[in-house]
Amino acid sequence: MIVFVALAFAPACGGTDDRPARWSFISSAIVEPACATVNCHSAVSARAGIDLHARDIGYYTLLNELYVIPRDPQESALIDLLNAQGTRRMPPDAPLPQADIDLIQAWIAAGAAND
Amino acid sequence: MRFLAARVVLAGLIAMAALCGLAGRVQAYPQFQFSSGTTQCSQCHYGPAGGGLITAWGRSEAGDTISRGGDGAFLHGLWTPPSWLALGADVRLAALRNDVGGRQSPEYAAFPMQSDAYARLDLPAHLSVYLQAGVRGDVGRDESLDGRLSSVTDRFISNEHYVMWRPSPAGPYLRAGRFFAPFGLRFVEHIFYVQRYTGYDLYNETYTVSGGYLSKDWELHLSLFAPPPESFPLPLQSVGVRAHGGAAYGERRFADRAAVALQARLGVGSEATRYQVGAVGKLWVDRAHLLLLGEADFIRLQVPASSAGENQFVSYLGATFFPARGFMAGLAYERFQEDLSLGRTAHDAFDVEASVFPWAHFELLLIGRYQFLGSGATSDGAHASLGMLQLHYYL
Repeated sequence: MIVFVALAFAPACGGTDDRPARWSFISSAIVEPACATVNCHSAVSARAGIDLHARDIGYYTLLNELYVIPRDPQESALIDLLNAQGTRRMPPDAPLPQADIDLIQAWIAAGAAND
Repeated sequence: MRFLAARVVLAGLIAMAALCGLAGRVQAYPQFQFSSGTTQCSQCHYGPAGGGLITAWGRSEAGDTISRGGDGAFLHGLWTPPSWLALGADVRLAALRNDVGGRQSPEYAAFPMQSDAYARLDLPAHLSVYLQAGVRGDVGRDESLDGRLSSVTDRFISNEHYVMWRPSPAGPYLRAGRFFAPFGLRFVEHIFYVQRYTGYDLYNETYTVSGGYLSKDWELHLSLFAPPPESFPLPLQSVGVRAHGGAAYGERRFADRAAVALQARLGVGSEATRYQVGAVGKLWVDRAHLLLLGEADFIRLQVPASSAGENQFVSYLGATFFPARGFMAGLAYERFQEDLSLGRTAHDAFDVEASVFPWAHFELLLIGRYQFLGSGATSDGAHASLGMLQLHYYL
């Protein structure tokens, strides 16, 4: 039990964000686990018509529905939703850490390629 | 054969007849291991690793030990099914207050959260069939957000159905069908990080072949799993990260009051692979009427397309106090670290739970949860709070 206590409260390292600002990473590491859940944006439920359960379909959904405007994160509705700026917050049960939002913003600013 | 066919048809009809509500996850209360005097999950549940329909022993415990009174038997003991048939159902109504910031927060909702029906049939040669069915639950926040599940019939689901060979309560078993491969703590609430980020989120059940061995002091479960094929109909589809792979869970119990488990899981998806190793600990402190539960898992996420990966960590540490028969109160701390090298990717949560079991078959549950995101580096992280009241009835 002592080990569990130590692990559970282990302080996180500070660190610099060297994660790749690429959709393949963002989709697998952030979007699918956080958004394609239960009755939200999974393939089964596709709430609001948004299906984020896989890399390609998630990518084309976000761009075709204009949630992502390549090279313009300020005009991308996805960033507003993640930051709850003038709209509801997504995800509505477990918001993303700012570091994740920054990474998605960097991907959009770099052109939002399906890379 | 005609007799067997009749049994299967009867169980199917009973299960289908109960598809009138909203489904949540298959139920399990790891808080009752040791604290109720029962040391193995499989004593109270037909599932060898716990969860789902409860046995006659479990029903007896529910009435005599866990609740403040009443008869825990099916239909409150008004009718006893034949010995080859076990039946059950869960209904859960909920009201919540959720605040994550933004224009529509806080939001309030009241909704039927769960309705599951269960049937289990004994067959010859130590075989049994288990069926669970219900309707996917939904908070129903906003109709404008409706997706592919716009009607109740769209929401039909059977997230557990399997065939099992188990010649005796102790000893080897084999089962095949749809269920979660045994791994980790399996709470009623799916919101905990150790479920959400390890492949055990709500409706994430896989098709699994599992075998193992159960004894008084230890148990072992080995599993191979795959997601439902995409050609399967909607009621058989899962959500969440799709992966196939294997899992192992071994638990050793000590002096009827403690357990340590080691576990591993490999999930290979078309876009990412997750390697998981972890441990579970359980300790009952009889003098203080306190049960301590803990789980910690390290996850290596590998994303080949971006030639990148990250090391993750997810944990749960909770204490549940049983002040008197029929009452249970708990505190828990959770952490999910998306990337161990980056402090700003931390998710932290504090949970408070209080349950009252005033009578067998009834539970009143109050949950409070506070999450804060991105701790460790900046102060601009988001936070979220949840308050939920549930009324739970099982048949």
